[in-house]
Order: sequence, then structure tokens, then C-alpha cells
Amino acid sequence: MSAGITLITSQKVFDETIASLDWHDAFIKESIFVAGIWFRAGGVASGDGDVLRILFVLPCQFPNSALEVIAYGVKQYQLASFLDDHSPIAEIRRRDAHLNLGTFVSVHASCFAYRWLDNRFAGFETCYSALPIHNELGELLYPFNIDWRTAMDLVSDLS
Amino acid sequence: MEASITLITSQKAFNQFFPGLMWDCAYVKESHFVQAQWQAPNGVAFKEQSILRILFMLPCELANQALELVAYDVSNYSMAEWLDDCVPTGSIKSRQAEVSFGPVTIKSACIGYRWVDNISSGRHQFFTQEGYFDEQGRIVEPYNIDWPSEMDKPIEAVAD
Repeated sequence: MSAGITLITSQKVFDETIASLDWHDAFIKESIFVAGIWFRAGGVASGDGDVLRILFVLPCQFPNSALEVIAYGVKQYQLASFLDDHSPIAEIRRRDAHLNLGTFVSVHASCFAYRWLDNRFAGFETCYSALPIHNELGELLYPFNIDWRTAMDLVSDLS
Repeated sequence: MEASITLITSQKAFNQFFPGLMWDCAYVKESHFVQAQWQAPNGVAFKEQSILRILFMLPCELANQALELVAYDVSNYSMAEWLDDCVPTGSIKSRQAEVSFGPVTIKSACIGYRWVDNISSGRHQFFTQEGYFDEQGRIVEPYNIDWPSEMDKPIEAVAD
């Protein structure tokens, strides 16, 4: 259905990919957050961490217009329906990443990644109500099961 | 499979339900936002309303622990995983609902809730099993409520 995930391991990667796209008239079509914790008898158990997926539609971007941004280790986020033609800015540090798109859209997480989805997901078809992110053991499923921690630690130009 | 959605149609209805629950150690297990806007061949199309669904886990509630909050026509929202033991507050007016669950805040036109099966408190992912639109782009049950009509009723006509 879709391409593999590309981790944003540095400020340079972000500037050359996400920031360079045409964000005119872009909007958030869908998002899903899944906590990596769950309740069980005796307390709270934890799995592979929190994941937030945001499906952006970029009508002016060709040939693909359905961009998925994945945030790992989500600390806090706020979203709105419209981006008001704001282009994204970000601050990418080792295991600490901030993404902003205007006044009401911001995500604070440990790591960001992205991938292009099939253009049919820019249509009315719901993307995130079909496949789960975690398996029955609480482990992230492919293609989300990237070792982003090691990848970010290997990059030397992060503070 | 699950209960129907109860709309919060007045300030009184909000005050009588949400603050009375046990919010100690509560957290957000899942959230799902769907925008009623998409890219059509000749431009951008709109249909129905946007919706935000949040699955709160309330470990200290005895019988039910999985509470689904539904917000219609969402303007913006802020989200965090832990609610920091905060007691919910909210302002409910006609087609304007601003609610706060600690660091989780939502600005929308209407909110509702329902209890869902406790199996959702485990590893099971709820919102990947329960869709919102059908293949024609129509809102499916139990979310297809005529909330604008309910919110427009005079307060005294609304059953608490």
C-alpha cells in the first residue's frame, strides 16, 4: 500500500524533505494516537512507546499528496483541522524533536519519520481505522517497528 | 456491540457526569481524529463533520474503565498521555463545547460519551476495529447522531 518509513534523523534531513514540500492549502485529514501502555491486573504495563500518526494532504504537491508523519515517543501535541498555509518548522535534536505548523498544530516527540501513502488516502477513505500499530504483545508492527533510538544516536550532528 | 453515545447537551449534564468519575491515574490510551475534508478530482470536498474520538482509561473506576469521548466539529485540541489526576472542567453552550481534562483540551461544537467494553483497557486497539465513515463517506453507527438538533433544543426540553 505504501512506501517504507524514512526517519528524520537531523535538522538537515527535515529541511531537505518535509520543509521543502508545497504546503499551500494543506490540511490534516486524519490522525491517530496509540499509547504504549495499557491497564492490567496489578498495574499498568508498557510496550513499545507512544506513536502518533498524522495524515497530511498536500493538494499542490505532485505526484503524491498524502503524506504521513509519524511521531515516536510522543510527549504532547495539539492539532487543528486547518493549517492556514503555514509551512512546517522543526527543531530536531537527539531524541527530542519539535514540529510546528502555525498556531494550533505542534508536536513534541522523541523522533519523527515520514512516508508517502497511496493517493487514495487523500480521498474520503479512512486510513487509520483498519490496521493496528501494535501486535498482541504490545510490539510495534512493520513498517513502524524501526529502531529509531539507535538511528538517532548514530547521527553525530545532533546536539 | 457497545452502548450508544450520550450527548452532553447542557452545562448541567457535563457537571453531573464527568467530574463525578474517578480520574485518579487516568490516561489517554488512544485518540483518533478524522477530518471531513478530502481531495476530490476537481478540488477539495467537504462532507459531514470532523470528529475526534478519545479512549480514556480510568483504572480507579470499578465496573467500567474504558470511556470513549466523542467530539463533533472539532476546531482544535491538545493532547497528552497522562491527565495528571485533574478533574474535568468544561463550558457547554449551544454548538460550542470547550472541555479540559487536565492537559487534554478540546474545542468543538458538541461532545458525547459512551462506556466501551473493558477489553479495550488491554493491548487491544479499539479505534482500528471501530470505523467512522462507511465506503460512501457516511458516518456509521453509533456516531451518526443528529447532534445539531439536540444542541439547538431549549435547555428545559433536554432530558438530563
